[in-house]
Amino acid sequence: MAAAVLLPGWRALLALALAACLAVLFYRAAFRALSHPGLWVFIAMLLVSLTFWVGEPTTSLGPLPASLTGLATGVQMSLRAIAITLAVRGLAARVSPGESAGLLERVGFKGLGFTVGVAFNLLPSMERSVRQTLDTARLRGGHVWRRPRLLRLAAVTALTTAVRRAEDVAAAAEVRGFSPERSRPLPLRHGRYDLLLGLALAATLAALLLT
Amino acid sequence: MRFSTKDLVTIAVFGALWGSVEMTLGAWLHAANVPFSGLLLSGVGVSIALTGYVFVPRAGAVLMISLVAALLKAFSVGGVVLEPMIAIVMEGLLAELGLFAGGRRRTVLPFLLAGALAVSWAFVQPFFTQGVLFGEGVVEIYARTVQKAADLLGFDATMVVAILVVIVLAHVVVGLCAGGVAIGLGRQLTRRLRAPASAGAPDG
Repeated sequence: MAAAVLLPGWRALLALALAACLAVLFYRAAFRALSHPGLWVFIAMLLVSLTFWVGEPTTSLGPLPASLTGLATGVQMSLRAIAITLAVRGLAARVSPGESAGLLERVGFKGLGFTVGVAFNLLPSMERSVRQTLDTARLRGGHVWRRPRLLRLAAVTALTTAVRRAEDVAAAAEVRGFSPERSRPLPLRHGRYDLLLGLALAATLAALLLT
Repeated sequence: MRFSTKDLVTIAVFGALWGSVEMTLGAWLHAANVPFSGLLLSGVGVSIALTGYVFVPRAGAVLMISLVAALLKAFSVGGVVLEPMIAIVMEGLLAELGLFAGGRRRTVLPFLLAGALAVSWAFVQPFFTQGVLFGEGVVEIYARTVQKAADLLGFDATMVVAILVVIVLAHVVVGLCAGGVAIGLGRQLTRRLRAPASAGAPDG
């Protein structure tokens, strides 16, 4: 990603090659991002507008005045976009939310791992609670989607239940000896070659920037 | 940022609520390509986060709620989750900024300020994402496209600016409403929580 951001002009192609190599080696799921039509529609619009619309005309394609400089700029921008998309989607595919929470805990968000765990475990009971609230409202003759006041009351009821549950969960955690001050951040996976790979990538980036 | 166990669990509750709205309503709205879906989701999400701030009135609480919601969004069934995750965290950050600028009091002003700032991100988000992906040149392309379109259609380019201003104002108004809803909902919840548990809704 750093290579895609830092390498200017046609050297974006090198960044794309690096991102594609890393994706093939470590996170092939990242290629799924390229099947998203939105990315290609935007790239097509960018290329068409830069070639025929925004760029200064230098030649003509049939009856249409075209800008080869604009086309070149569009291709370079698209290469950069694909490289960044591959890198970012790869990161998202390989790093789980739990590991992300662990990383964030290490930079000052203490207790985030515990909080995410509690939130994840609360989802089914909250969904059940919301459904019961809506069912109760309907059985009492109201349809929340047609009457805004009922929707507000249903929201207040669901939130009240959720906050009361939070008090119970907090009490249970404290009884079990949990304390945010004493909690350890979620463990992170370390590979044998992580350091080596990091150094190799830093050296590659430096070589790409300096040559 | 130091929170007690109860603070963390309350943050989890409101983060789970925002996350579940994003995972269900958000996935559906994005799949259906509903216009201004980002604005609607921001409004709902920010009002949930700011309601959470009523119960955990400490610096960083709204940011933590947004981080929890963003991490839950990673489990969403929708294909594209990274952009919404960035949007959720940025909205949390801007809401914190608004609360800080408003003096972190539990009065209406900081809530309105936080809501307006946070929801305005829904307008900036596409430009930010495209700027990161395609480089800052994309902004110049937008500006020149707008100028050329205005010339071609024979209207003043200032009209485009006026349309953009109206859209920004719509975001600010939705943000103000989100802040207002949050403080109203927070007060109502506080009253309900003081009442005995049997007076509430059926426990799930």
